[in-house]
Formats: sequence, structure tokens, C-alpha cells
Amino acid sequence: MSKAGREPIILRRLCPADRPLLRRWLQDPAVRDAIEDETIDVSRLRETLALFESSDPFRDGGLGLLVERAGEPLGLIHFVWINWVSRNAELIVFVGPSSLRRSLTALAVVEKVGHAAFRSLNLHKVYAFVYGSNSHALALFKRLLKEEACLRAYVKSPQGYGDVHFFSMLASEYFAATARTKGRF
Amino acid sequence: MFTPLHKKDLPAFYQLLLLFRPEPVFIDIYEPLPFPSLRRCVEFFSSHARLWVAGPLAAPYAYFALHDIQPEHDLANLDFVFFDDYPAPGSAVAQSFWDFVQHCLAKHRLTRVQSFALTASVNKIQLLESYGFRSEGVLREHFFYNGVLHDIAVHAWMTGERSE
Repeated sequence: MSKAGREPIILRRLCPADRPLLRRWLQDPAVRDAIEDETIDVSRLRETLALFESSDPFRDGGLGLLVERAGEPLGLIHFVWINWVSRNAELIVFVGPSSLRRSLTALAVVEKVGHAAFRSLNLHKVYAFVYGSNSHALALFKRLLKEEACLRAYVKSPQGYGDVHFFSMLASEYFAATARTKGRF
Repeated sequence: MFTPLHKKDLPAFYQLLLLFRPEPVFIDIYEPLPFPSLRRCVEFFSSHARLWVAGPLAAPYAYFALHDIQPEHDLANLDFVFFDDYPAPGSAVAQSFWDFVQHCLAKHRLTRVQSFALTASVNKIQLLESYGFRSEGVLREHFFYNGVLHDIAVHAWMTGERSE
């Protein structure tokens, strides 16, 4: 019997039964602030859930995955704008339970991004946009991904203009990192 | 100097793109691409972008486009290609081009535009920087084109760093 917290983390496709869970996560202001953009408008919850569920990487260039450990949902990974020629995709990822966001679980969820992108989908690169105001996500992404660009004063809000940071991970970087951390996740 | 293109002009424009095989059309970070079909080219420029050409409509020497105009953030993506070579920074052609770009930005009330270029397009990047575009980074191995994964340079221009 495995020790508590050491069970393997798995990825699975989203299904309609996950809607109540996703609704709860998406009502968290921290999650909303992190993921809302041109594509995702959480105020239109039905469309957002449909976007995650109906993702078909070969038809609409998207794929939504739920991250679980021993049946406990940990987070969501959503690849969008998958480009099969350049073999890259934008990544949307968040840890659902707020108590896990600053733990090793968050690192493990991001590691699963690489697993899905580079071991299953055969992508070359994944990238993510992080708002400058999201200090937790910035700190996490700076540890795990490379910052390639900072789009200055990109988003307009009532508080003024905010930066958007562009992070990426190449397949080669993922494989090198997993070789170094083998067995940790 | 520049003439706006309309839907009826797009088939001829698409033929021009195929003929000259210029740099990819940088719609945004997600989709730098040579348009795979006339249908997609027409679809895109009819709804998501504004497009102008310089010179005679039948044989223009440059095109200029604003893509992904986002009025809620007062920004857009700026894309342009000079088919032969880019004008030297400070030349009359370069100044005329930039005057027209600024006119379009004012018309659409845009205070920020970002532009993407292959890092190998040295002359294009020099031209952008001569207009006051600042480098915001390089997207590594981001775009597969002509058999190679290319880096993409990101530059942006803002009105007074968007200060109110």
C-alpha cells in the first residue's frame, strides 16, 4: 500500500461529471484572474466548461485534462492553439484547491504539463502567459519555465496597464529536467 | 502611398503572397503562418484585420496590416513586409511608411502595437527599432518555416509608455 501523498498523479480527459468541480474552482477569484483572457470569459461559465470538455486536439487545437491523485482532483491543464506544424501550444494551468497552490503539488502539476505535451502529444514547445499581478504564478513559473518575453503595459484595467510575462518550456528542457529529478514526482 | 484592400482585392493579394513567398504573416504569437488557402486568407482579412498595400494595386511593393485589434486594451499586432528590401531607417520611404502607420494607429485609437519578426530579418528589425519599437524578448524555436524552427523577435511601440 502506498504512503499517503505518494500515489501517482494521473491525467484524464474532462467529462460532464466534472462540471460541479470546475464550477467551484472557476468561482475562485484567484483562478479567474489568472486564466481570463480573450479566449476564456469565466462569466460565460457554460461556454468555458464546454471549451474544456469538447477540446479535440486535432479538430479545434485544444485539449483539456484533469490532474488527479488517488481520485482527488488537483488541477486543470488546458492546451489551446495547438499548432501541429510548429508543434507548440499555449498552456493554461491552475491548481484547484487553494491549500495546494504553494506546495510541492503545484510543482507536480506543472511537471504533468510536460508529460502530456512532450511524452503524449509530441509537441516541441509549450508556452504560457502570466499576468504581472499574479505573483504566485510568476514565482512558480520562474522556477520551472524560461521567461522569453515581457509584454509591457499590455492589459488595460481600471488600475492602469499591466505587464504580461511569456514563459515557455522546450521538450529538450523538460527531458533534461526530468532526468535530474527522476522519481521526485 | 497606401491603399486599403477590400474583400474583392484579396484573391489578387493572395496570389501575390504565393508569388513572392515573403516572410510569414504574423497574425499573433499563436499563428505566424503562410496562409494555407485563399479561403482562410479572405476569411481572416475580411473580419479580423485591416490591410493596406503600397504602390500600384496590381504590383505593390509592400503591405501593412493591423491584426487582432483589441479595443478593450487599445492595442493590436502590426505586420508589414516590403517585398524587395526594407527601406533604410531615416529614408523618405521609411518616414512615409511610419507616418501612415501612425495615422492608422490614431484612427483606431491604439496606444500600443506589437510586431513579430524572424530574428534573421535584420533589416526589418532595424527599421522597427528606428521607429522607437523596443525589444520585449525572443520566442525561441517558435515557428517552423522552410524546414527550420525559427526564433521570433517581439517588439512593441507605445505612446509615452501608455502614460495617461
